[in-house]
Amino acid sequence: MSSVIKIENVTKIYENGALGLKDFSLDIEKGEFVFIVGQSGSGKSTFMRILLKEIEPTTGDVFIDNTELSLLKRKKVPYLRRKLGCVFQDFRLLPSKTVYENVAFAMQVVESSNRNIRRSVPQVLSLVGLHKKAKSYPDQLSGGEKQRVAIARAIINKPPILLADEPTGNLDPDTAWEIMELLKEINSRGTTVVMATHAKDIVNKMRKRVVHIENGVLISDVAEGGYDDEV
Amino acid sequence: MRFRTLKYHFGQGVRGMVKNGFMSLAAIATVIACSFILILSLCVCMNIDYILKQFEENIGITVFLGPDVDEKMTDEIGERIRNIDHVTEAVYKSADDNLTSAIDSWENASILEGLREDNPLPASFEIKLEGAKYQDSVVAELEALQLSVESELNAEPDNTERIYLDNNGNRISKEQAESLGIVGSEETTAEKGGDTATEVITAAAKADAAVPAQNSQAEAEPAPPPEITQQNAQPAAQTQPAAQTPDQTQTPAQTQTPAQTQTPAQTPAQNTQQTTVQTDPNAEAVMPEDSAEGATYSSAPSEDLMNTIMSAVNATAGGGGYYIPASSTTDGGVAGTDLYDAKLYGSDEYEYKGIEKIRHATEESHMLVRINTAVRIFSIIIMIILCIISVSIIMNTIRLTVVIRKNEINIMKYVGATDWFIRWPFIIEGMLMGFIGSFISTVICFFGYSECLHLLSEKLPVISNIAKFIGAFEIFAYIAPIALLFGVLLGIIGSVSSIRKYLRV
Repeated sequence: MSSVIKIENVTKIYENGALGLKDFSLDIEKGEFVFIVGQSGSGKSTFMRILLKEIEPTTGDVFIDNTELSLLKRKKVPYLRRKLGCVFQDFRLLPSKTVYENVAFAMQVVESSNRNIRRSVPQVLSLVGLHKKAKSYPDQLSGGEKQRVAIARAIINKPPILLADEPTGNLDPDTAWEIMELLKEINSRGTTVVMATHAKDIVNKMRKRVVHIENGVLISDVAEGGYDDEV
Repeated sequence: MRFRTLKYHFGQGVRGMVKNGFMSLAAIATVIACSFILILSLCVCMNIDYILKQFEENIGITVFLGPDVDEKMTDEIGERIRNIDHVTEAVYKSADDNLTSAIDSWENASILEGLREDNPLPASFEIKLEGAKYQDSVVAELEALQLSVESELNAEPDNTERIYLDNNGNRISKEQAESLGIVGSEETTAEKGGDTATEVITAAAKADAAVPAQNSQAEAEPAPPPEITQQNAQPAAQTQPAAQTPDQTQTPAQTQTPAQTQTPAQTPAQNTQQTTVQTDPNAEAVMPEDSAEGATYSSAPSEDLMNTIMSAVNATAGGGGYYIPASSTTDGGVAGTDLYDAKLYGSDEYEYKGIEKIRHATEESHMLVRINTAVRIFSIIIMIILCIISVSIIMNTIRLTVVIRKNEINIMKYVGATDWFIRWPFIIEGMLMGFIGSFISTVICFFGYSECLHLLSEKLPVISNIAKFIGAFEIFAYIAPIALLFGVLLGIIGSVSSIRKYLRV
């Protein structure tokens, strides 16, 4: 099995001296579902941002789909991001666009044909269970529905990897669990899911691979683990 | 870029503009204001340029022909003038033409009508140039032509009538001259120089400043003594200017030796003359090439000095003419030697054969060229300043519309949009706003301008006599594209520079 994400001895020290990650290595294989857990400021966000090439590691190499990120030119970054679907805690939907338009937007950006857009968007919307809300605007939706729209937008271009940064952070437990079911469904279709969270109950219940980061250091990496498992 | 993407961008651009209606209006208003000022200054600058050009066209060069130029020669001279670079036209005016126009321009023309019988005016060529800046080079060419025409004429046998003057500058007969001992000198000259064309002139006590210049036979042209300032390095020449006259008469075509034609009447000057003769080669070498020097004389010598000069001065002139220096030109209606730089060979009023005189307005044309350059530089500076101000204003306005869509840009980045994909809708939006703004102000300015022209011609008809303005359609055929391009560029630069910050995600 080839690694979709491969991180080798990455250290990130911010310009103000703060430590992001310290000698961090991680392999994620295709089709895996990985939780990245740790307290706020532990380095989860640094990890995510390095994957998106928002920031550069101070030392170490990062490979995504066998592409070394430090060798990637700035102009090529958009093409990297097309391999990484992103879901955020705050949804980041465009309030002026309908649900349909928000999802279609991601396809327009990668210059898909209109025919393709018309075919794919309803499919994805029915996958996330929002096909009846296609014409609604984000502020007419509940939090869970908004996150579903965000997930639909993240997977519409069929990226090999889905990065979810605290996708359930703003949701009540029931809704959060619905989102997790959805992510599990997406994962079962072959997409690698990397989810940063500190929702203990979800992690414990899912029994997936858990990577624990504390103060920028990887302290545990357990397959089918729980939140508090130690190596 | 694929067509549907372009369509998408265009749609997004229009939508963006409509959605941020208030901000868009602000941006459009900014463009209107900026291009309004731009158009106004363009109108002013172009009109100044246009008017200056009209003035430049009026500053031509006039070439006066001598009486001994026949028709064939005239045609040839005309042809040679037209062949000079930057000469746009050379119109021949016969002596009669010139008299007619002189009569036309005078109020009490009847005075001049009497001259019909014996026209004192010369024939001339009115020369027009491409621009005032070519004046110097064309004048130089004309002077060369003047020399060559003269030498051609001198090559022909000379049958010039000789004129003799007594000490008072009055004409005397040959017998009288002989009795005064003048002719004796002449014969010496003839023997030595072997030139029968030599003329003998006595020392004239006074030169009459009013002697008409256009005497068909010989001209007693009053002019200031040119050498006084020119040869400052020679003290002898300054104190006794009379001694200098011979070298003024030297032309390449001349074969006689002027120093030897001095009459006994000039004895007071004789001593210094030796010195002068020695300096002759110098003067000869300099003058034909750079006759401009000869023209830099003090135009108003003191009366005393004049008299000294007049009493002593006289010499022979080349070929067919002679001259008497005096204090002013007698050139037609032209007044003041300081205005018209009569560049004459060696002397200020030396009469050439063929092309007698070249009249031109060096100072005026130089001034016009300077004004023109100044106006151009000034308008370029104004335009640059305007552009900088406009761009900064429009940048700030558009930046506000971009800030509103910061989230949108951010999301686009996460979804994998390329920088250009993000930029395009903003560029199109900026272009649209720029176009609309500059179009509106172009229309306003067009009607404003034509209304102004209308009012000017109606209320102040005097102005249209002085200078013509560019017609509204003609000027806006130039200005409208510039203004529209300016507006569109303004919009583009404003948008691109505004979103730059937000692309760095």
